[in-house]
Amino acid sequence: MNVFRFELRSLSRSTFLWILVLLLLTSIYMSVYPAFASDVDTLKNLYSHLPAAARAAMGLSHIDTNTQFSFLNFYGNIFPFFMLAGSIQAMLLGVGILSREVRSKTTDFLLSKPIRRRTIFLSKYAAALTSLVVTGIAFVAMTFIGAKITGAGSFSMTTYLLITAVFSIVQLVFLSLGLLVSQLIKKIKSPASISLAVTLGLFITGTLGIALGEDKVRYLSPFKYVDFLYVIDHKAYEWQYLVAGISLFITCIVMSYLLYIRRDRRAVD
Amino acid sequence: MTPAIETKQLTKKYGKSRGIIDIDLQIQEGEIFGFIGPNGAGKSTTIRTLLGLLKPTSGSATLFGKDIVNEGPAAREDVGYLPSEVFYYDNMRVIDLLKYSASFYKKPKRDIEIRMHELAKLLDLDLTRKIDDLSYGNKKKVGIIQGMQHSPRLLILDEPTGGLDPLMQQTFFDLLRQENKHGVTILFSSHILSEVQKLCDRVAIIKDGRIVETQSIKSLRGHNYFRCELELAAPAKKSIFANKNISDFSVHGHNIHFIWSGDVNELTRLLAGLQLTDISLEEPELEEIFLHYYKKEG
Repeated sequence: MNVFRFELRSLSRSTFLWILVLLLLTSIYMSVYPAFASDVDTLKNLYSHLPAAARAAMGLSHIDTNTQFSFLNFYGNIFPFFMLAGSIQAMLLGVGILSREVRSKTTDFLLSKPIRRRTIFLSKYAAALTSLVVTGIAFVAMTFIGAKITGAGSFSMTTYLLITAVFSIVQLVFLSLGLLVSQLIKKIKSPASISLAVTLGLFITGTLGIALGEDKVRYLSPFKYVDFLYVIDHKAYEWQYLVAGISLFITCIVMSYLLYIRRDRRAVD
Repeated sequence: MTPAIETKQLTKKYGKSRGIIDIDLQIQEGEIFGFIGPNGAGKSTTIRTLLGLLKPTSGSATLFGKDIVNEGPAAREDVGYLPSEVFYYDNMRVIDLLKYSASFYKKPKRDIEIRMHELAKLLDLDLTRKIDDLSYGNKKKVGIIQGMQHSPRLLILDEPTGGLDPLMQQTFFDLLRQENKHGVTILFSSHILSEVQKLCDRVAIIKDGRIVETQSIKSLRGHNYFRCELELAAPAKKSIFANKNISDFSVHGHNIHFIWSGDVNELTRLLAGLQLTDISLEEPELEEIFLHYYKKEG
């Protein structure tokens, strides 16, 4: 418990700062919604006044103005930016938490204490997880309140929660990815640059892949495990990508655990 | 009685660099045991293996009868460790670090805190300061308190004196002797022979990863080691230096170099008979002493 408490206290500042970052992001993005919604009204109005033949001629006959321009649709469109921020937070956390002793040269201090490495690993992991859970709860609250303030009207709660949960799912995957990276690279000089490189790299890979119509890329990029339009239509995730995410998550955790408990700690240098 | 430390053919091999091979040690409770050898001989590797920082390749070791691999945490419960260089988490006050350190042990927190304050007073260390702001010597003091505040029965000190000024070194040695009087076992590793001579009862000499000799310090006591550089006013007869205590002897004109190992008074008597223009006496490197030691033995 002492390691958990110690790590959690050390994380409190960064957790708080990340919540602030997310608050800023959600405020900015969600404040756009009223403008978007009023445009939608104009558009809807325009559509309704167009003769059916004209709509068909413009290729718009199949558009359901109610879902296509709904709040959730808007939410799904801005969500990748929240995911990106969340993934950076989680990745930084993952890279940093086990390698902390390596960077501050306190490995000797910690590992010469009467404590199992397993306990250290689990305590640190639990502390990181707690930080993310707190962030997740704050995030749900922010987006929900944001939706209410910006006049989103009524929307499907299930769909909203399914979309919002993706934030935490992506964070979990990146946390474990970060842990593994920290165990594979012996000396991490700057956790920030590695974290940014990995998250942005995967984000761009995902976006480019989809843009190029390559669906397999969705297994590669955790940002693309969930297709928000699919969630809006079906109120469910596509399980095959979720399985890919869970497998990656478990593989990273198990590998970093094994590496952490087995590694020889040579002299500090 | 269960030995405080017992190793049986303890071996640690790493990739390319040398590890330790078949280390057999038995250190009884209450001993001050010196562990001496040149840099890179395997002292730290042995200590880090005992502490569970390295996993032994083969062989076994116990601390107070508890296996270092299978019962690691229990084995380390009664150990205090002071590394040669101390590092701590950034941005912490001394007292917070020490309290965190204390939280790992089963001993009552109150007892540990009382001892913490005692030690801080003795070493003259302000516990409210930030660790980052401390000088190297003061950081070392944090290390000493951190290693001793939970009153361990075994102290493992890996080249502990680096960075301590002579006065503080004296205080530290007194502290160690006092702890030892209360039954604390001490494993003291060093590459400086005189330090070990001052403090230890028995000493193991390690070289190239192997223990080459374990002996009582008495056999080393009464021996002073000097690297002597003399500059003579006039060339002297070589026969004057035909002494069993002299080794590694060389002459360059008026300059004479040798290693002295033996009674210091005998050396002064020998030097008294010479006309000198300059003299320098230094403690030789451990390697030089060993070189001499093995030549004599061997």
